[in-house]
Amino acid sequence: MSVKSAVDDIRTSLRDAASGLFDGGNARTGTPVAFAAAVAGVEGLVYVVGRFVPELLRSVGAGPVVVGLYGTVGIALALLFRSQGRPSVVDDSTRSLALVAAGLGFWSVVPLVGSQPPVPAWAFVFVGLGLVAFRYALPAMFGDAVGITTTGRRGDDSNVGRTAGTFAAVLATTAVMTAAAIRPSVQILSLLAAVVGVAAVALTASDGFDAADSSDGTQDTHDALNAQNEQASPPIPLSLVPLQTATGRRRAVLVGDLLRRFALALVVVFVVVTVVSFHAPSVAAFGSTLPPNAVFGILLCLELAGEVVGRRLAPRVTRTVGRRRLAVLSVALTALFPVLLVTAPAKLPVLAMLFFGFGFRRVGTDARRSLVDAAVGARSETAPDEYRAARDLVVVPAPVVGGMLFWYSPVLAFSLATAVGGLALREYVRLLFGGAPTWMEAGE
Amino acid sequence: MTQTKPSTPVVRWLTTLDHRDIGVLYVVFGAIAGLWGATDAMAVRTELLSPGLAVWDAATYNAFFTTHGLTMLFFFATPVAFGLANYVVPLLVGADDMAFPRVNAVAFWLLPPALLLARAGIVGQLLGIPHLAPPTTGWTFYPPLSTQQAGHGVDLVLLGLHLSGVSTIASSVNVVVTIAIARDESVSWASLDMFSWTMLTTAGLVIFAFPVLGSAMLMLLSDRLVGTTFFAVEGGGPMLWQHLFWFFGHPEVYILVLPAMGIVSHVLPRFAGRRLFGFRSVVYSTLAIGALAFGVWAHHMFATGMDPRLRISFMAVTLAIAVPSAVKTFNWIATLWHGAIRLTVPMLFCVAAVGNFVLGGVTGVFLASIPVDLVLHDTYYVVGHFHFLLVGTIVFGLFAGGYYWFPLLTGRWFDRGLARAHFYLSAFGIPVTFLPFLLVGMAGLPRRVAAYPPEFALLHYVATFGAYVLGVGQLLFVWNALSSAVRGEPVETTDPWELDRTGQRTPEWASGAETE
Ligand code: HEM
Ligand SMILES: [Cu+2]
Repeated sequence: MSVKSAVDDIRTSLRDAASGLFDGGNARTGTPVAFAAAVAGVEGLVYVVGRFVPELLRSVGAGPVVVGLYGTVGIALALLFRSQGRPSVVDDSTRSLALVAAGLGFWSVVPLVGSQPPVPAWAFVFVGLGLVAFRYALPAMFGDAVGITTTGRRGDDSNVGRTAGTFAAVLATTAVMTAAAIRPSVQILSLLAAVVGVAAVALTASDGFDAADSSDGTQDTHDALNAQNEQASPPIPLSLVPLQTATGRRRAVLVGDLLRRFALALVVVFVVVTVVSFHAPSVAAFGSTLPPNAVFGILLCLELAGEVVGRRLAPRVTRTVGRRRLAVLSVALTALFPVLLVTAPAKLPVLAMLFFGFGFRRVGTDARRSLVDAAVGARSETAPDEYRAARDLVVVPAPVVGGMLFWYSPVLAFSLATAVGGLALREYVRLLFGGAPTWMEAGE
Repeated sequence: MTQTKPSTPVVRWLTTLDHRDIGVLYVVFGAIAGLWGATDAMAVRTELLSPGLAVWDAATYNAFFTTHGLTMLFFFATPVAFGLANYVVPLLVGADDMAFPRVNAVAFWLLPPALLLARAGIVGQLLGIPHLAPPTTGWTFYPPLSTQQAGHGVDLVLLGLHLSGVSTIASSVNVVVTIAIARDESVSWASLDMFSWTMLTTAGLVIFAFPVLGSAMLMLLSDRLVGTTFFAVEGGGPMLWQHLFWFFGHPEVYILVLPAMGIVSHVLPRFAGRRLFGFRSVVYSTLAIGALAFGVWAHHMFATGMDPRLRISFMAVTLAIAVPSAVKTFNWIATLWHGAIRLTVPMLFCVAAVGNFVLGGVTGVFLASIPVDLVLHDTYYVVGHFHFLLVGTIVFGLFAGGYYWFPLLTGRWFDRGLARAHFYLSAFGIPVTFLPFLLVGMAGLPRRVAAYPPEFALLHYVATFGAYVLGVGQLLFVWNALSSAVRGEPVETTDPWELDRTGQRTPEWASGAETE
């Protein structure tokens, strides 16, 4: 049943996306539609390519600590953009997009640098990462005409355009990975992503002065896109205080959330390394053999499918089992994933189920989020964001720590992640006993 | 205009004899083939991103550049040019239709089977049909490689190209007769417009060049299938093929470029608010190109060890053909001088086409010099040279015409934002892709190799970046053309480009759009 609804969901997404394309009403919407598709393409490719980058780092000679550093810098940059607001160099989305494209360009030159001594190739990955992070400076949502959310403000909002874009990107990635090794594949895909970014930039710059336009006061797409920028959320102060003030079961929710995030951050950048280099599964299909990196592409498809199914079932499941149990389930899925992954046999069906389940944890994302929001309380409008910023500040070093552990032993790193996840689970399980406290009322 | 009985859209499009319908069919067919050829190009560029054989093996790579060239030349550029001509030439010369409407329809309907034959190899490979693989010979089919490639892929391509040749000859005869005989009495030779002049010359070139290709292909086919020795060393020899092929091949490049030049000469003055500077000299240079085009073919063979005295004469004629080309360039620039320039989308493409033509033409003049050619022959420099012309000039010219006549063909406006983004990406993509070709060529890298020394990786990387930009840019065009043809803003005037203001409206706009 879940597979069927996944198919349904993909179909619905595609249909929505298609009707979005054709319901424009008049030709004026052509440019925004193309722009939306381009941004969705960039977002999707950044997401998948980003999932492969740790393996790229490994293949150009970076050790586990450097790979961990990639995760740490990634979290730190996201936090930085969120807490500092949009830097003044990127006062419009065109520039942010251009910088993201440049960052992707840096990723695509990594194989050219090879192993020439003065600068290690992986340094280019980090320069690229710094530039790609400017996607956090994009407005969270481009105008109504465009209707697409970006990673700008909310990391994992569900949005039809974005989901379709991500699916397309994952499929394209898998196709490329089938044909080529990891380094050329990442090069091809990041170059492609950079080019789609360039196209998006060209689209924002394309309105203005056609003679035949003069007769009808056309609206400037560029203005429409950037109108949204004014609504960007205010900077969030970075302080640990929001973590320290809660007590009792509220505290349990917040600590549990912190531990969950920490557990995930310990190993998440090593997932690809573990699958591609540690398990190295290869699958025979259609008379040829799929290399491990292509298998990982397939696993990402399944993870995404699990996510889509989870999100779709979420409202119904919330109604039947309730928010608290659902949150517990979600945390349990998160916690179990690392140890199962590292100890699983390198067989496609097993890995497939694991990744589907890992994606399926999203069924409880909204429940968990609303619990956290409730636990933080309504002290101020930005209080939940302040809490999350504080939480992420604690999580920043986790990937490097994970890298050190991984360097010592991958099994140790992943088992420890599960252990930390277990602690998170323990905090959440405490919610199940006793009645619902009053602060949790809203919504249950 | 032949007969208008009501019928279902399918039947109408399958049986139409109206030159405007057939023109649209040509353009749509050409666009589809162009997309197919573009995927080949993307495959080629993707392979070249890495010095080694990172994505495909060498044979697959060879197949990609072969089918790329064939598809783009025979099934994209030529049909689109003839499609636009089909639509507008009768209107421009005041003919009721093309001179022979049925021949016109037959000529078009030969193309889809021709394309399928020419691309059967890839289909065969995908479906795993034995003995059916795409050709890996390059678009020039040099023997002995082409006589030796096993399987029937090459045979089918030769048949497909033969069919497309028959089609092109038929439509050229039609163009010549339409312009020479079927035109309205009010249109004298002296008042014939520039686009019709170039199409007339083009069609003349086709009539003399394509039969040679057709015969040569049949000879090659019989060498392959029944053991004749036209091109075998013990018979006519491989050089015979080269002579026959390039006797067609060089005129072919002018067959491709003249329609584009005609479009530039037709469109550019309308947005410069001035008449084409030196109209007469442009006509004479067109005719001169048409004549000289048949006297330069051996510049493709300077490195074959042919008689040096013969070589010199071909060098001289080749340098001479640069003169009428330069005359045209000069006239376009002079037309812009002091003009009231309107940078509409068609105009942007015209101006860029002129710029690219200078780069492509000048590199050709270098190649025309024997000593230089001996160094650069069969390197990427040659590929750079002809891509500035084929893509930078010809495709840009066709886009200029496509955008200029879009309101005429569809009765609707294209989306200008998308069109301009398409232009920016294309105009940026051309030099980024093709300048590196000139550089790696001058550094000595041979063309048509799937793997290369790592020193060239950076320039090849830049070229692939440019090619991806070009590729993504064309997707914007496709999306624009499709969506605007269906829901673009309707054109309500017979003068959408406001040409009356400068007194430059030409007869193709007289009847208004096809919607009514
Ligand atoms: C007008 C548009 C032109 C087009 C479309 C064009 C196209 C081409 C093409 C396709 C080739 C390579 C054929 C092959 O080997 O695959 C080529 C080669 C060549 N072109 Fe052009 N060309 C143009 C103009 C010129 C001009 C104006 C000149 C010189 C005055 C010129 C001189 C040459 C020479 C000498 C070669 C042979 C190079 C070699 O193979 O070593 N071309 N051109
Ligand atoms: Cu030539």
